[in-house]
Amino acid sequence: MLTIEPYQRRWLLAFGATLALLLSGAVVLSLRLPSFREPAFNFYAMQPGQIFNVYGLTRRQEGSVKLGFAEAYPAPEIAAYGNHIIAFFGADAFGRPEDAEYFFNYYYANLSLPEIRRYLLRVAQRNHLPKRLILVQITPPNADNGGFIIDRGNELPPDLLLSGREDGGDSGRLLPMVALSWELVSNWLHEILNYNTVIMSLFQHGDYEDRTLSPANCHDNPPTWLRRLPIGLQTRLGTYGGLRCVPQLWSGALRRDGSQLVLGPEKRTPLVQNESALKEADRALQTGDEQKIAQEMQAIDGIGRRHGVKVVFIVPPVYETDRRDSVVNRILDRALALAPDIAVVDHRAMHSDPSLFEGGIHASPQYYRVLAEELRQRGLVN
Amino acid sequence: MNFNSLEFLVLFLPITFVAFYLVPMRLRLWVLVVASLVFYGASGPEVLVAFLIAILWGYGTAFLFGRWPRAVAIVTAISVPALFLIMFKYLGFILDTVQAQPETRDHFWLFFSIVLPAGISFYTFEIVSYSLDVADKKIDPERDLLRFTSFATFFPHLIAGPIMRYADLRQQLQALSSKPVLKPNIVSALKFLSIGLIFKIFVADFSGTRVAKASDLPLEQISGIDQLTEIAFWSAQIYYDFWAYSVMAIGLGRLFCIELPVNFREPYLSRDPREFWQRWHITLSYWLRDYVYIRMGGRDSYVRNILIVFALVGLWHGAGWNFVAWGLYHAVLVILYHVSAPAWDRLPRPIAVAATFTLVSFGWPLFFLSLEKYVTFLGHLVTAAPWQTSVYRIYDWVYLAAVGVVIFGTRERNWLYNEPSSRNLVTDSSYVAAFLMFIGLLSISLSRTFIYFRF
Repeated sequence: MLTIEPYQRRWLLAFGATLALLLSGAVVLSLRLPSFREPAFNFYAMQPGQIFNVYGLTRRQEGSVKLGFAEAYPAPEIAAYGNHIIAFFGADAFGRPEDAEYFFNYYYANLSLPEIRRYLLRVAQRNHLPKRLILVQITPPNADNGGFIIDRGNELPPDLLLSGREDGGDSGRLLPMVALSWELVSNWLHEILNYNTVIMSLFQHGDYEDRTLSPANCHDNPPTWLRRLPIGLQTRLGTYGGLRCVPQLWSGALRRDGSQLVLGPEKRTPLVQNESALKEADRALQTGDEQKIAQEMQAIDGIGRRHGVKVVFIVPPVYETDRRDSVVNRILDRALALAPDIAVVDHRAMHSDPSLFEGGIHASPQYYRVLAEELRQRGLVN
Repeated sequence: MNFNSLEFLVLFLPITFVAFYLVPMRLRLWVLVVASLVFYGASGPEVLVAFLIAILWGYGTAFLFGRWPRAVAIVTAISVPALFLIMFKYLGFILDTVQAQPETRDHFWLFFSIVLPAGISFYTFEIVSYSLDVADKKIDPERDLLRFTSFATFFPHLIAGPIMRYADLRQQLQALSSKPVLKPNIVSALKFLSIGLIFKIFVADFSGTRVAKASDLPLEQISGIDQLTEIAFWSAQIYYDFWAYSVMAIGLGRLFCIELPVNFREPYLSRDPREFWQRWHITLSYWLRDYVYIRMGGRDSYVRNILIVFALVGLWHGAGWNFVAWGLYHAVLVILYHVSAPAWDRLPRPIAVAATFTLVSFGWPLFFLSLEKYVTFLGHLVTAAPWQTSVYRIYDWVYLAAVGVVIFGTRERNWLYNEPSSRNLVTDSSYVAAFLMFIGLLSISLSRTFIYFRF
């Protein structure tokens, strides 16, 4: 029992009412945001050379563009699933530029293996898995100090979290149910209580048509008056003013094959070696995680097996010095050793050639040509 | 779990609060212990097991005093918590220092691969202080395991202090299980929580992102003024990170009728380096004073003892030579003040405060840079083009000026630790507190882990 003095009671009433009002406003605003999942955007309908501009979308919306596409349309022959690490993996790696009917990159925000499993389960439920090959990216441990391999980032919409239940067979057990409920609430909170969601709900506009454009047709833009302004202001005005042809807004834009548009050299961020300092305090993997990683890999491989599609895991390289002995790297080594039957293309050793990188932790299109060649040599692609 | 997470603020805290006040009074400590173990267990089962072993060891060995020879009992009592601290926190540093071979490291893979247990330095010091206080007969050994466990695990101070003594909490914990009706100061609790959260996100973490703007670049690309700005941002980041945690901890304690001590008393207003340590991380300073400095003879061998104590302060903050250097840097400052006190104390207050702040600030980069990089950093500061700023802009300095106004131009007794009778129109307003809490919740995705989280 507790007792509260009258002054405190009045104060608390005002505090609670104000906070409730503000939080309700945030919820209402977030509900205004379009999902970008239904109706789904059709990447197959894009013309070669066109881009889908994601500027001003929330992380959830940006991912939902691809999720909606994955749910509504069958995947092509080969598809890659992962996170931003493989953003620059396009069909050109296979010598078929922007051929979305051959290869599509479904990379999405910061998905980790448990989230990719749930994503794939949903796609499998719709019978939209790729016909020949599923490529699943594992975040290289030294890219984010072990992060985004098995830890989850509240990236998927809540209904996809429930997909995992059907696979895990945990529906009747108490602890997994509590964990799932916690995750669902937490997921919802992170989406609603987010400054970006609130701000975007006030200013966002631009439907699929507005966001699809051909940079080649943008030679007259942006307008001269806009170009005279500081870049930060150009970006904001462009976002909120619906100006399609402002190159600053194309950062992260998607191409027809789902890969990210490679920006010109002047807009690239400098290549930083050892971008993640691998600080002990930030380490996201520890002993015991080997088993969890191996289990997730086996579960994902099982989805492919059940549908007769080969699954290959990819570990791309990070631009770094020789840091193979890092704790997180060794934990992944152990995890891979626990799953010897799983096909893995492990390219962590290719860490020193700058031409293979678009940023410190993002492999370049040049790297993906090397990867495609290896897949070809292994007889996995034509 | 961290205070600055939605899971903590929106789920864990309200559930624990409601459960605490709904259960019968004999179960209140159980609620706190279970909640604290859930809070801590979020970091992983291995670290939770280590924590529980350390608690049980501290509890059990306290009964050896008076039965075993004192020295043997002390060594026994502190052996396991100290061993955990060494193995989890300092093993890598020790093996690096002795240049151990990879095969040697492989023997210790288990300790390397477990993530450093959150708050291990804090709870180890608390358990050790309990053992030493029992050895010194300052307190009796606690027979109630539940009460002792709630002292060690109480989640508001578990991760980043303040470092509590059992004598400070014993009566308060006893009251929780004996008073039928409790009177929590919820108003000040929510005020402290909302202010702490806002300063964590918009001062500490924002300053951290501004530091990164320069520290991510090669030194040759930044100028002297950029480096000085970077140091100023470091000063704001470190102080407000610790300060915000401590303020939130006080607020959380008050929600459960536990009064935690103030750990930072406007340290940047200190007149001299010695006073700085009487205002900065106060519970750590007093811990080292009581259990190390005085036991070594105190002022009898002042210079030696200060060097040892501050080397320990450095090591406590981190396992690396940069932290040892940081501790020794402060030892030198304190010793220099000691010998120059007659002259220093005659300085006008603003000059003394500015000098102390500047000297302290030049030590902060050692928190983040290796010793070699720190030396290079200082060398570049001397030789770099001084005024050609390439990184920071006018709004960075406007921001720092605003933070400076809060640090040097306001007194916390007027807006934070003020008595209910002298209400501050802004910080004591329920509407302002609700608005700050709302902004804090919306902006939590911008926030980072507390620097002290894995200390």
